[in-house]
Amino acid sequence: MSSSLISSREEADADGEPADLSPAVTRGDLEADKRQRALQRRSRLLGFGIPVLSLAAVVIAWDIAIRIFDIAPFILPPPVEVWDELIAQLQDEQYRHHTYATMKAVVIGFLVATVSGVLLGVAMATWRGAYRVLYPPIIASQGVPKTAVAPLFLLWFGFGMTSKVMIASLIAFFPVVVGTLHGLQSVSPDLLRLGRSVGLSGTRLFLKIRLPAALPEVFTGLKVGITLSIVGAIVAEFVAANEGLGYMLIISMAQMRTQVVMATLCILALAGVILYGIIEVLERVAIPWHVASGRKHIVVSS
Amino acid sequence: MTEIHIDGVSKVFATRTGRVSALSDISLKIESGQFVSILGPSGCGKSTLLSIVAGLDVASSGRVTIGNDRVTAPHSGLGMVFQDAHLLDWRNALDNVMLQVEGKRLPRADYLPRARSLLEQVGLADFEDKRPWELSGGMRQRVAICRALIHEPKILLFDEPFGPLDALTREQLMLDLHRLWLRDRQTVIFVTHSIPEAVFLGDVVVVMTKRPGRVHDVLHTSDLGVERDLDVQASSAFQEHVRKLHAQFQELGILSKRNV
Repeated sequence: MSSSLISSREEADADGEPADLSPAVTRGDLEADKRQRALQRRSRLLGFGIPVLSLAAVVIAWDIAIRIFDIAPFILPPPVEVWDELIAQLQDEQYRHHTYATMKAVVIGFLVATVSGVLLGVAMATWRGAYRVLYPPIIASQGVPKTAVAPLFLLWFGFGMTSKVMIASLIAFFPVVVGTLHGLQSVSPDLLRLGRSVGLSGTRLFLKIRLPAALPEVFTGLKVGITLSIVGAIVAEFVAANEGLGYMLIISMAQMRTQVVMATLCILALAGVILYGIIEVLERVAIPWHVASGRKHIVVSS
Repeated sequence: MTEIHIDGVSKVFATRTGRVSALSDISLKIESGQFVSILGPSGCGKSTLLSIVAGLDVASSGRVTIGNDRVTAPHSGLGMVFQDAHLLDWRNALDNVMLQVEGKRLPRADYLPRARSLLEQVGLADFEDKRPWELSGGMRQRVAICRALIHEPKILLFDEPFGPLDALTREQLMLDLHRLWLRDRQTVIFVTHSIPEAVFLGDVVVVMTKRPGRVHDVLHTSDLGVERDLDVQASSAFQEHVRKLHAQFQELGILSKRNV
């Protein structure tokens, strides 16, 4: 007894007696737990229901506007036509081929951006020389509109996949590198001191403390990166491709087939949501502590 | 036997507005098994002093030796507890304790049972799988204390470890720490700005001045006995020490003399 470090107060917590108002989720506050779960369920329902409702509202307003103002279908086709076209495209072999071509560029471009962005971010965060040499040109490269660079890439890498991947990765690269760099730079110095006090240094300190602490920001960069990768691939297909959804957009636009354009845009939006969702799932797997502690904060603050 | 020798340590920080002297010529000899409370106002450099002893910070002049070794890097025979628990969110309580073992490249299998038993001793037996955010502030600090103890260090450094906790939890942890020290008799440096805490825990209380921190006085509290309980705080000897310390802080201009 005389040698123990036991607090009787928190023992009471562990035994399930309502003891204090501590914010920790212990077995003691089952009631609070239940309330929290109900809140979570409600917020999930709202999170799903509100977007569906607002989307429906937009579609209805769109349809009504066409009827009232008598808008020509080549300017704004009615929702039904776009819907039919969308279904047709999803079933069409040719469109599947174009979608595949675009998505391949998006995914490969994103992977290239992820690998190079994380590596350069790590290099700049850990080595001052790399930071001095690389950071200014990376920032400068962001000032140049990517659309303007696309023709150059066409010249250098030719028509097709290579150009598309290069442009997609160039655009997706920036949020990844900034997320990684900033994440690593803003790790609390106290955590690093703790690491040194237990005997960690160099690579081991980096791998056990600095990198895991920075992962939430890396994932923020990846989430922005994946959506920008789609933008990059489409921009590239506008100028440097003979296949893909971007190419199809240009062709359909030239033919004034507006319902085709809009259906293709819907496919792109859908693809964006799916790819973003995949990154979120990966985030949950890779950094469950961040997702879990974050969710708790949201509930607590509501 | 002198375990920790702080010899003329000064620390000067270079800041944007010029050089700030944080510590000025601190000399202390700490005997093996002694519990030294370092008491001073905020910003007196007491945490910096602790960092220098821990090998996390470098003195501008002077030197610290532990045993016969001059401190130049984090010492392996030392456990440190910070003001915040600093638990890693991606590790559960048990693995946070084991961080010390991994950091020092000790065999994990040998220390796992000890980690479990330490957590059990601090009343967290059922919480070893919990992540830091599932624990209360007091629980987190207990895990941090286990992390500092896991490798059986001869020296423990505490940097205002109970600062962010509520008063009752503070009192309890203070008592726990005292019992722990009675059992294992590590050499302890305990930095605090609480006068009762410093007197209760320390057999020596070092009073520091405002910035730049200097040793103003060293107070011995052996008249309180070695084994203490909360009742000792009501004793006249304890009150006398507290009164003396109040007077010293008034003298230093840290506490005002009268309510104005």
